[in-house]
Amino acid sequence: MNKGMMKYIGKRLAISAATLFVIILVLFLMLKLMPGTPFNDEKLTEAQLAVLMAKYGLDKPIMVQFWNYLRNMLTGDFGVSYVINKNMNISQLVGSAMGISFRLGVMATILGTVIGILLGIVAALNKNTWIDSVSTIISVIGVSIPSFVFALLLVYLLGARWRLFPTQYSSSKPFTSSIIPVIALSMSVIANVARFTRTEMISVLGSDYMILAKAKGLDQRTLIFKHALRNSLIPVITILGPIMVNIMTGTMVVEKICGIPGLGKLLISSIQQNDYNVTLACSFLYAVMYIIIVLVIDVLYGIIDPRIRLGKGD
Amino acid sequence: MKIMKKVLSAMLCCAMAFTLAACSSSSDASADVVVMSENDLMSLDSSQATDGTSFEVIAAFKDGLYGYAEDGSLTLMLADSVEVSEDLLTYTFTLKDATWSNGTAVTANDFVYALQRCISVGSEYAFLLGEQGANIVNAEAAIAGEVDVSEIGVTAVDDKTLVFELATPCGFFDKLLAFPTFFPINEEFAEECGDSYATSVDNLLFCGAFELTTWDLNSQVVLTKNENYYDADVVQVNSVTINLAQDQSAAALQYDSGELDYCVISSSLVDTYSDNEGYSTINNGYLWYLYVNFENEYLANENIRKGLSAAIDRSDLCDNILKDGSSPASGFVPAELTTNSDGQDFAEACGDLLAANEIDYNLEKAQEYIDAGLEELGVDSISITLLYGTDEGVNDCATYLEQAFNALDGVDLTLVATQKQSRINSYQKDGDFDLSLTRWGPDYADSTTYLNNLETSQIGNNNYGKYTNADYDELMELARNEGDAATRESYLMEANNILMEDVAVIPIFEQGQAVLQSSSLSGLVHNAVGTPYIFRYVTKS
Amino acid sequence: MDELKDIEFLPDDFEFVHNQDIMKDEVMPDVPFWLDVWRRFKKNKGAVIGAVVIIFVIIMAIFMPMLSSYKFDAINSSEANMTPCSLHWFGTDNFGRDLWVRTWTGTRVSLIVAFAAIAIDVVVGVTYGMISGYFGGMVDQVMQRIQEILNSIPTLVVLTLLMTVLEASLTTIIFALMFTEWIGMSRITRAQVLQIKEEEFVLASRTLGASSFFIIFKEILPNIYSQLIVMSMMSIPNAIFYEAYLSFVGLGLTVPNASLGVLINDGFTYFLSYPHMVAIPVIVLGALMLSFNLFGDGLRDALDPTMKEM
Repeated sequence: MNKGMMKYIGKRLAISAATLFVIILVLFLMLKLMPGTPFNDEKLTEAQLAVLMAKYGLDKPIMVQFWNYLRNMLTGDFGVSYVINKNMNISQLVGSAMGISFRLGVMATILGTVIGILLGIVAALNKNTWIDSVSTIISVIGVSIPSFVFALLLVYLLGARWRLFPTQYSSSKPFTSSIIPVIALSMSVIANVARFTRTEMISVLGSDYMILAKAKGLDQRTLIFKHALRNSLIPVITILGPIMVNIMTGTMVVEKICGIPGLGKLLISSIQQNDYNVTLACSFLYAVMYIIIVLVIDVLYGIIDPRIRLGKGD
Repeated sequence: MKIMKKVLSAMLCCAMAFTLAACSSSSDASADVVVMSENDLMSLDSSQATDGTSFEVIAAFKDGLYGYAEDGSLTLMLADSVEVSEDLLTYTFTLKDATWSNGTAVTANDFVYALQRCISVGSEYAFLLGEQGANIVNAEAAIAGEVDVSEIGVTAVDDKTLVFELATPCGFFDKLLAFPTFFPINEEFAEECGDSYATSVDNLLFCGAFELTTWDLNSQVVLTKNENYYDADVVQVNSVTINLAQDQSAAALQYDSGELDYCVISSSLVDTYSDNEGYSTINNGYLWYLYVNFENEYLANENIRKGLSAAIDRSDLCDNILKDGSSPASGFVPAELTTNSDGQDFAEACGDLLAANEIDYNLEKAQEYIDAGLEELGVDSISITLLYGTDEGVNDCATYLEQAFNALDGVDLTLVATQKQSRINSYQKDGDFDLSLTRWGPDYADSTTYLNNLETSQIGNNNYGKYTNADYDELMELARNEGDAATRESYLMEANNILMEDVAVIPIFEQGQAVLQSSSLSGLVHNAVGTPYIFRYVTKS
Repeated sequence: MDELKDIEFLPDDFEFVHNQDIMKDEVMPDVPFWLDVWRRFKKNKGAVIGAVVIIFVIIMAIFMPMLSSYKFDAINSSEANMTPCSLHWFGTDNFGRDLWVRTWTGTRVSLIVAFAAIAIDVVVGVTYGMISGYFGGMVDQVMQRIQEILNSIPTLVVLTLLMTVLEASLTTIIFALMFTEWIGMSRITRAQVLQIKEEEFVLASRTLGASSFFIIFKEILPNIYSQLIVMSMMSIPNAIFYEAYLSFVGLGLTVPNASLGVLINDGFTYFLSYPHMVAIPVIVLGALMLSFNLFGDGLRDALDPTMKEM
């Protein structure tokens, strides 16, 4: 890693930190603008409400609250939940939700990438045959149709019709109950990766060094796996960023369909129940993950292909 | 609230027809029962919990002074005996020998601590200790922050003797004591845990029929038989698993495959499952109604209100749209809430007050009312809004009402959608609504849990529509000071009638729930008021 | 290498790599730009199918609710939960509302949301991108940071939060979509502006005393519109999806209105008993998104064959 790279990463980190600060501030103010308090029971009297507000420091001026929140946050304390699971530490609540979302996301990415690469290779090797057409159709459908449509379809077919897998997530059967959401989420990954691998593979197969390798008399297998694949896969890393962001989006809907107690479901229910701290922590986490993914991919890209001039152009 | 006749609550024993089937086959003590809850549990801290699912779990792992017998009636649990003073103001309980799961004994101080804590942490159910509930000495003042919580009239004379002092007699005090808010908390343990008390399995102590062994957030809890329970013989199963925050369609599928013994299903599934042998409907105690804003010039007109009420075909809504056992409302107090001193159901004794006041469904009549109202107001048409919460499961009802009201000539109704919390905290509190679709869940088994809300004194509190009627207030006051149960009931019934005469609110339906229960499961006790399900007696063959 | 010596080369062993005709200059007939685009577009089968489906759906969405004797919000509980039949071509929902009419009304709403949101996005995004790119320097720096920050919050999170602060309605959804989708537009615009403003015709214009406003709108804008059209076509499926998502999680349109998301949400609860209720809107949604993607792809290739596939 050269000096320019270090400087670039440093600059990006500084911008990310500033971005995160602004995000917290904006989210914080936005949530304070939301009507009502987190304590929304009809039976609560004004006096008790005051007790609760004082207990959680919600009676202080907004900037004081913000300052307190920020200070606690830096020590890893995101406060407690007011509604969803009363008095539970946010780190505990969000941690468990995030673990599940993260696991599903990683499973979907891996499954999708593997199948996508295979599909792409097969399509490239059989260019302009029916196999290629089928693979193209799968790619187009996978890219265009949102994951929740797949989830609905799978829930109906695999879950309700044929009763192969549970339609809802269950912590006692974490594997079988993850199958439907993982497949649904991986569809767009398969499509993107297959499309990309195919294009790269075709251009690699047609390149001079491949013709040379072929001319040297290497057998087909060595040719594909040792030469073509390696060179066409490196660029695939570059699309993993958008893919992971895509999956993050996908999980928010798929979680609702498959009853997964993940981050997206938690975010939505926290918003509906006005549980400030949970909403804040979830949104913040989403932003952090998003920024990290984009940053890591950019840096990886730079390392893999030094021709790319970092920091130039969007 | 001087003297209140002790009232029995409406209880349903879910065993019902299945008891017969269960009798023929033997129950299996090592069985694991799996049930579902559509909601997540919000708090396992008995002094802070407010939702049904939390109550269910708390009542399974902890006992109160009172609890429920297998037939659903009240019975002493942790209390060995009780002595009530002649003036009905002092209750002295002697406790049984019971232990917490860490080996320490359950003492009278655990109850005192729990109740003081309930007030000091600002629990939403603290009002059950105050004037609207048991009216324990000094409780109201302590809630308002005027005296220290240690001043309230609950004292531990010794480890086994607990004394309650009430400011006024409370006819449903035993019922309240069966409410998880009044359950004991071990002071030493809770203080040690501090803020993290009851936020995980390790931060809880158990003294009930079950112990909580697993709590996967937002996913499931597992209750395992408590071997050290003082009444361990009564527990007939090894464990009860509650799947939390479950989708009803998925639950129905699990029920089909035998993975689930009991589940609630939505009206969308009723058509598919109504022929299933495990299908039944239960009453879950809620009344849905419309708050009418009396500050709106149109709605202040009685004919307009009557017209709106008469435009709603409640039977059609319940039978053809909701289909989950919900029934048309007949007044402001739902059925099966409480029984009068003569043994008759309060709502039943009132009769169909909507029909009596000619505000039940009659489209022609509704149009006449509206026409008359418009003439009185001197306008051609009125434009009003209906507020509802999209997260409250009443979208179907709102859709139906929108059509019903707009079918009237001269009425232009627009729906305003929001979330429950802002419906209550911003719109209703600010009086920023015309009609608001809302529900009330009974806190205790007495008609006053509903009727109190519409007193003039409740304006600024739960009387969001700012309804006021001197006759009504007078009747409620009379009832509060009446010693004779039958006379008191007659006042309350008359009050209920006045509400319908004035169309103070527009009642819509009493919420029911469609459930599926496997034939091997029996002994599940269901309550319309308080803790929804009691798992203590379940058996599985 | 001794063997090589034995080889004898004959005159016709080799031929020219390139056809010699290439040296000839052939004058191509002058084809207008749009005709050229149209020709290229026609060759792309997927894109043509996409365009046909889009036009079909738009026509259905405009006319079907007008032609039918049913109203999209008319309740008739005696005809509830019917499966598709001659009376109700798509069946009815739990209120007995005709799903044929509701589906097309819902499609109409979804399309309106998508088109309106994209139109606003283009205006906002292009203006922002052009100002940022044209003026450069401090202005660009500040504007880029703001954009970066907005871009760092995932769209769905922004949308979800916005929908809770604002009151749920059609305009709110459009506004919320506008809030997030313009960023892509502004990026493309800015990149193009940065490139084009260095070109000589801009310099010439400036030398002649043209104002910044004139240069931006008269010189630069016409040069980037084909990219903008492609970008908007590609954004429409996103907008449709986001609307569906918001309605699906219960933050979108309110009853009795219909959009594809609302219909999917309503139908989802009935998927065990009446699968057609969710299947129909899902198929329409899927077909629309697929078609817009195919159409956008084809349009991009047709407008600028040199543009590399993303």
